Amino acid sequence: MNRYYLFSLLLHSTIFSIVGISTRSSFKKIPQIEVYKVSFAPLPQPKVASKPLPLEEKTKPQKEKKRPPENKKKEIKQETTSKTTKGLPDITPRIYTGSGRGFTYSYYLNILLNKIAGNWNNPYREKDVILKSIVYFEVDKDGVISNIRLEYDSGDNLYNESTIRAVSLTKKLPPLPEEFSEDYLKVHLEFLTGK
Amino acid sequence: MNIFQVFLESGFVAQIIMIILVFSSISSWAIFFKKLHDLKSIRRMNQNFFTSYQIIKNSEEIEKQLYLLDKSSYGKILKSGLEEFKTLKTSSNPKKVELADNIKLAMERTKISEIENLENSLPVLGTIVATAPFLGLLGTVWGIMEAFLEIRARGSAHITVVAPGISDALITTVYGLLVAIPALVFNNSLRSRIIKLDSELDKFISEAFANLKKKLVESEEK
Repeated sequence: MNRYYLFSLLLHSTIFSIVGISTRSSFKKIPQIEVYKVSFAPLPQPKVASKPLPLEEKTKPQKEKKRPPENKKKEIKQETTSKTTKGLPDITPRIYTGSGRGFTYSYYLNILLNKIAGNWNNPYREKDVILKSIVYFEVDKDGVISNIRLEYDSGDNLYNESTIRAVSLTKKLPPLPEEFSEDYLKVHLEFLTGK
Repeated sequence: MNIFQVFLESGFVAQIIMIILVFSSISSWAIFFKKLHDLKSIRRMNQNFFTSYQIIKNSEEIEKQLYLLDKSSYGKILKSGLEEFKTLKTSSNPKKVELADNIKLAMERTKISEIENLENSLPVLGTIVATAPFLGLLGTVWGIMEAFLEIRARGSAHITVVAPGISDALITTVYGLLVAIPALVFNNSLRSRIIKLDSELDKFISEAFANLKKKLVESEEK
């Protein structure tokens, strides 16, 4: 019986080898996407953030997205600091008010970030991939989130979906501070994941 | 990337199932080769015996060539019949002819043991045929379950989340069917050959019994 088992084993080895060689090109490797840290990293505060912006900017919100090149260094610095601290909160997201005036209520930003982070299921958590996406949304006086859109594409649909979903699921935040005189708050929230 | 890498990147359960299926496949092919070889050698021996038997039907002459009897199924059956015939012939019982059925019973006993020898290991083949598709199905269900758990954990039904579980599922099904289909063919083929041999042996028993009974009656009359 043993020789028949041996013969069968040899036959199987041959068949597997032939199938293995012939299917080498028919299976495409599934990309292994790995990310190993999750954190909110802020965009740099524009220099003009503390000063009231001219009213024209309200009608041209696209200009707000432009970042002065000198701020790039700052951004990198902030990202590196976020690497050393785990998780939340790094509460200096790039936030503009409706009129372009700076928003300085850090407690509110803490709530905002914690709520969104709680709803964020990062698909690349603890994997070796660095991704960044920016989601734009508006918060009205009652704290209702609206006008959500992806502002900066990370290049990965799954990651983009997860960030938009995190903001969408949050739906409602506490009402804006009473002292805050504007009608709504514009938020450009950066989702950064990586080491 | 090839089929081996797909195996290595599969989940633990899928890997276990695939290993069991590979061992089952090796066993089923080994059993098939062994039984095929056994049946072919029995067939060859039977043909040799039958040719001699057609020429010399005289029991005394056959007894002289006993070396032929132990090699084939027909020979073994005839030998047991002849032994019973000799016992009856030499006995002092006056009702010898009435006890002639003992010759047939002896030959049938030998036939049954011959068939049992040939059917040995076939239950293993039958078990592989029955269980391999179910094992594949288990891998499928497990893979799909993992895919859904991934969807729940990540909160996304993106293809990169679902694909690994589904691929595991499909691979185990393919393995299960690749093992079960040849095993089913082997099982049916071997069983049909054994059934054919069984009916041929039955015919031979009837013929040999009639011949020996005739000789017994003749010896009684003398």
